Amino acid sequence: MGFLTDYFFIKAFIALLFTGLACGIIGTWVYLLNIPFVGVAMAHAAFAGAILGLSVGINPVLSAALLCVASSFFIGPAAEKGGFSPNIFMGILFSFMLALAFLLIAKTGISSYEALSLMWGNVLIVSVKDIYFLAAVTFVIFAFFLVFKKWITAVVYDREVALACGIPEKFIFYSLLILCALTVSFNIRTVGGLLIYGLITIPPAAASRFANNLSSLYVLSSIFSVFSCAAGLFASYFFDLPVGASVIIIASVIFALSFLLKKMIAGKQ
Amino acid sequence: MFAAEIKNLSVVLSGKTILKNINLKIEDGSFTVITGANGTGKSTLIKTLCGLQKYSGAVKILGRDLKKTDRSVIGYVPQNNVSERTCPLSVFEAVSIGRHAKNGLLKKFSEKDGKIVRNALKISGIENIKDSLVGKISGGQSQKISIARVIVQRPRIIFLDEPQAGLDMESKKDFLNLTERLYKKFKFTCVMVTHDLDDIPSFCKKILKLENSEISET
Ligand SMILES: Nc1ncnc2c1ncn2[C@@H]1O[C@H](COP(=O)(O)OP(=O)(O)OP(=O)(O)O)[C@@H](O)[C@H]1O
Ligand SMILES: [Mg+2]
Repeated sequence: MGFLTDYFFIKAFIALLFTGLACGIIGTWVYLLNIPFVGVAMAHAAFAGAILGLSVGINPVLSAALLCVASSFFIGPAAEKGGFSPNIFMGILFSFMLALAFLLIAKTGISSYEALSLMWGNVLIVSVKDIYFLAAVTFVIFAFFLVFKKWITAVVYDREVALACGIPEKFIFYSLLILCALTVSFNIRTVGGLLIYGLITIPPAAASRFANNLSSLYVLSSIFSVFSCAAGLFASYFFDLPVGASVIIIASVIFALSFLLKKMIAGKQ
Repeated sequence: MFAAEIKNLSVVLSGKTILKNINLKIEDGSFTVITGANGTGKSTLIKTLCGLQKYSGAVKILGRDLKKTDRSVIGYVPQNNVSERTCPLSVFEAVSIGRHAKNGLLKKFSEKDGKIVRNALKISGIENIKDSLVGKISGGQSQKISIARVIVQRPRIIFLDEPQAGLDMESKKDFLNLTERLYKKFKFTCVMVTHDLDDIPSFCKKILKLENSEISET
């Protein structure tokens, strides 16, 4: 039971608890709005932002947040209806961000180990300050959710209908994007810029197999997400595996199980 | 006062002029039908008047500029309702959205609101599926959700974009009866797009035709 007194382990556990909660809720919004590519585009923007931060010598988490939030103002209009497929635009944005990151890595002498750690994350080395960021964004997400629940429901149900009945749809939609941007970038050191996308996408997808109302979708998605984080951390601790990758593999296993289980339930009926 | 007053309205979509210098006055409490061939811009006009589309010109709803008006006075029944929805809301909850919009953020959903929603479900003929998920119903049923949602919103002016499309014969008749009853009960202004000129309510006084980006009375 050495892990109970292990400072690094406890710190990592607390950080991942916030990560799991935040991703469970954010992921549900991304799933309901049917904009999965937003996660990918943002993950890469956060990665490029963090590299940028390292190369000019400011806190990479902050620079990641800046670039990520800025990118939501490009992603938002692209996700509007009309024009060409938003997914194509997101694909372009994500390639651009990745190219930008590689360019910076090549030109500024950032070690590839350091760069990689931003992609895969390493929650065992998160700082207490990082945990504060995570706690703060998780708190804001829940507060926003509680206060604006009715409006959020209308927007994720149908953006056009929400707008037509006088709900401030733009405010809600952009707030959701910005909260997503903050969650992704503040997790660049926990699960990592690339893997965080999986944690946003997979738990709500698994939850949607069972949820028959909106509340159960939020709750199940959060449970799956927190469980993946906790189990991923234990797996990494006991089997000496990278945390971020373990978290995503466990989330994927939950998804696969949800499929099988649902099939079995359906088969019995 | 006019329910809607439109001056020199033009709408351009990706460089193409869809509506050009539309001038139109819709009297309070009137029932107006808009018709026209496919692709002439009927839906674009409806969306514009519901504040969902950028435009140039002036639009006043109930005497106030559309951009400043309280949107909950406008009811919108979109064309082609999506039935494949990912959001696990029940029909009851989806209809309640209209009530939430009316009530604002802070007011709790009361006993009375519940009654209003149940009543709207009943008159729209979807009471029997009130607990079904919105993703698991047919296109025609989803059309009725839109109508019920607008009823509970209690708007002053309603825009319906081909509300009868996709309804079966029986439902079409029901729909006409429903509009008639609602129209008489709530005395709202109604603007409806339809291709089906045989199926318009008797109290409709004005039929407009949209052609070549312009509107004319028939
Ligand atoms: N985003 C867009 N960009 C460019 N053109 C568009 C866009 N959306 C619609 N259009 C064009 O605007 C025109 C009007 O479309 P609209 O949907 O208003 O027609 P409609 O009269 O409602 O047709 P229908 O009877 O088929 O419902 C069409 O010719 C369409 O091609
Ligand atoms: Mg149309």
